[in-house]
Amino acid sequence: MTVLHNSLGLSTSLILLGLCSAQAQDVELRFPVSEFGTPGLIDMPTGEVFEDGTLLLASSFQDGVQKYTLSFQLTPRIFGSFRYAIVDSFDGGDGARYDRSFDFGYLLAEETALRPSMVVGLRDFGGTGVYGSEYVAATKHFMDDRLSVTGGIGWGRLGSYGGFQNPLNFFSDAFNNRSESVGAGGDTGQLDFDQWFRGDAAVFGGLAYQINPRLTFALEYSSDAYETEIANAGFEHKTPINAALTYGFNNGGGLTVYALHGSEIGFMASLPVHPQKPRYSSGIEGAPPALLPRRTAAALSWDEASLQTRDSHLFAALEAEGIELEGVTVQGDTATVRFANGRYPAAAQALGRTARVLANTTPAEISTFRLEATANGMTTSRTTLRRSDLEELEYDLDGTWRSYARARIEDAPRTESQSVSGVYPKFDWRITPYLDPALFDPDEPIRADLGVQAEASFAPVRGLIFSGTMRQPIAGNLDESTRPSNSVLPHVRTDSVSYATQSDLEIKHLTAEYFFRPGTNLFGRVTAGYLETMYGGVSGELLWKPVNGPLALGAELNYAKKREFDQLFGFQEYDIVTGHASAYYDFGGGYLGQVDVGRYLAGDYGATFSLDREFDNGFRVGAFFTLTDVSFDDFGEGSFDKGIRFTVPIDWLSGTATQGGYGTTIRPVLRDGGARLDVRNRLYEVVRGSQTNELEDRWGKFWR
Amino acid sequence: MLRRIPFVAVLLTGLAACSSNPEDSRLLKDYFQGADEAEPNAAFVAARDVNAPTYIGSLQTQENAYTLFARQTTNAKGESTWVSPDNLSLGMVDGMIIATRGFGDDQMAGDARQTLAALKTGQNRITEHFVTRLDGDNQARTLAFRCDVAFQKQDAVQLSEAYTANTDLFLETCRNGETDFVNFFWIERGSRQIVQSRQWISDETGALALRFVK
Repeated sequence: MTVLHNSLGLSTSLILLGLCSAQAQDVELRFPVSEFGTPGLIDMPTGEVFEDGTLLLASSFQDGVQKYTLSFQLTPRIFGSFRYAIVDSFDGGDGARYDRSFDFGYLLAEETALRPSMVVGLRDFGGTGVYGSEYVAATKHFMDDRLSVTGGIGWGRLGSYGGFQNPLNFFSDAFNNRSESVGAGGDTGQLDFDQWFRGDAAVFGGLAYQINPRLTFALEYSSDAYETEIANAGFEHKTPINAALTYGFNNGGGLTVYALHGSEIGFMASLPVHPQKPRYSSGIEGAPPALLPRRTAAALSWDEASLQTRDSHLFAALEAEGIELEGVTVQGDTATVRFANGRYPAAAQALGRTARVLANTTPAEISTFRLEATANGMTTSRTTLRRSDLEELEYDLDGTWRSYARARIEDAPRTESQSVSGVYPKFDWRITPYLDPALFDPDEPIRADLGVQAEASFAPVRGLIFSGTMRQPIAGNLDESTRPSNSVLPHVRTDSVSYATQSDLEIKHLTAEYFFRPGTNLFGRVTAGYLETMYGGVSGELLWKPVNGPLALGAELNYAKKREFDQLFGFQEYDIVTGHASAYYDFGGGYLGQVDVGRYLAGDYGATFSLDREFDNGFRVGAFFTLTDVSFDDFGEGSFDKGIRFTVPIDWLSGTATQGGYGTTIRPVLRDGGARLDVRNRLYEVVRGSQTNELEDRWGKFWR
Repeated sequence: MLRRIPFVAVLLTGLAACSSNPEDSRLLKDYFQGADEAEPNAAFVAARDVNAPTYIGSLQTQENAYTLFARQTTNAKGESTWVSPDNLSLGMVDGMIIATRGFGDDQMAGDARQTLAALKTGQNRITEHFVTRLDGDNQARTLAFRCDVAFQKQDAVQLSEAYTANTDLFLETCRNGETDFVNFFWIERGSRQIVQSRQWISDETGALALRFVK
């Protein structure tokens, strides 16, 4: 734009207009993070929790010990952590212990003017017990929060130095005995309820002092005797006093150097991620179309004859906004459109743009817009908006909520718009790089393959999709695992190493899918073909999900046959009929619960329980566990299937209106019990994005 | 240009690859061409073609970040939409920004009627100024500010080589419990129009300087 360059001198003077800038008193609160990656001083925990929703990544290193921890503040009171630790010589000899453990903490009381905050916590409650301990800690702040003082009582490892008889024996003598020695392993993965808060107890304490906005000093009295490390790894416990100095960064992260028991120096890095605070809160995509007066040239050139064709002005105007018009009908004063949103992660934003395009292209007499959202060809909801409301609320201070309040959202089991000719068949393809990680397996913290992936899909008619994905690994170490399956169950997942080592060019999936609406509130899916990396077969699903309700119920039945390790077209002998009945509930506040009951790939029967925290911007963190009729012994290491998962939306990272996200599931160990078929496009996730709860959560994007 | 596509956006969307999806190529094109070479927004071109009133705008938080805003339309409430060639837009009432789109941390809506009235009448006054923005969780949050509108001095503002406006400079000093900002308005004597201003948008976006192009 020449005009821009000609204006440079003027613009420069405008830049120099800057006299003083707006100042937001945005203070990043800091608090000590222990080397366990949890709220704490150095080794000892505190009576604090993280800010709600905080995801904290932490790594600590000292001689012979590495810890990598992912902590998440699930609710304002509950935090959980997953830790992968490599401890040299922990079991004696030259070998290292690769330890995976979970922590849990609950805020019993918030700090008040007179009372400290208090946390009860469990360390390594479901792992091998290397760090197995329980505690109650209290923390009080002084000197305008620059000084925090902590005191607590611990059990297990935290009761191993300066221990005394358990005060809980007031309730029962059973509290006096803790049968498992620290780090012995026990029944790995089981919740040892009968060990918690048992045995000797000991007190610990310390303080953290913020010297200046960048530096924090911490000092603690530790109640951990490091008995196993002293016996097996040559650790010297010279003093119970530990000290640390932390340098804090603007983003809340910190670098810490610490002295441990007078014999070790360690380093730690921590980085908090706040899912509620993406870099670009309202996105950097282009502005939406402005609402024009009703009798504009575009509206006056309205041609009803070409309406159901791709040549219509409406089709082109929506296409420019990343919306594909699939159907349109004008009847009286109402225009009904069916559209596919190919751009916006927030369905409400797609609604807002579609509505404004309609307002700018339809004749003045059209007063009502009915917008049918679709997913994989199915109509998922119908939102009715009044044109006059759009005109009234475009720049209204409370336009977001007022427009949501005036919108009517209902189910759309049948489309009420006439199809636009030429929309089908659709053909899409894409070639991308891919990264396939396998995190924290028992021998190696990080394995991954990097390669090229080709995807293609063909939809001859609405709801019917043929698609496939092929991958060619280029570099990586997924195939370097030498851990053979020792499972006594059918090897339904533990052959993953064979799939990695015996494949080159891989067919990740090759399926035919049909999505349909059997009736009001009902959604259906049938999938056949190579369903996932390890299984092919047929999968059918039915979902009941009212458009305005928090509850959904589903049923899925699959016939699955195990694929050859080369991940091409062949099958192995093993086959199984699996299926689940599922209940989904949106608790509100971003909490999603799910229970799946049924038969798993190894033929075991049981249930999977999941809880996810989903932020309104799509950032999601969750955890799950599965209990089946497979005994803990038969299951093997870990005792039962469990894990954590997270998804980071692309638009959260980039600010652009781009659908999709990056995510993974982290399991302490992948075994054969409680293993579910990994079929694509399960209906609940396909459908919910454009229904009322999700629309409400992200309605702030309607005017964006 | 004001609107900039960060490289991370291109990287994260996997656009180093090929695709049949026009969305992928759109972002890639935006990034590598830059707004100077990219096809300018059609609404801006149409507005310029009919000699619509225009502002030149500059973001105070970015060096050499400037663009033009041409008035596209005005609704029945007197709210006008101004569009830029690089797909940004402003909602304005008589030169007072009431909305932005495309800046990353937008002002979704604003209400500064009391301040505007003070500027129009040339009186010092305490006013209320409201701003609605989207938080990181897609929720609309309305902030209320108490503002002190005060005359500073008379000032000459050169709007073009041929025209210099004789103006009154007013400062609008606003604060609430968390945020402070200062807006500057140069009001042409006689017409009482805002011919130049520096207006706060949001914490992340900062302030936008605007000068009316005669």
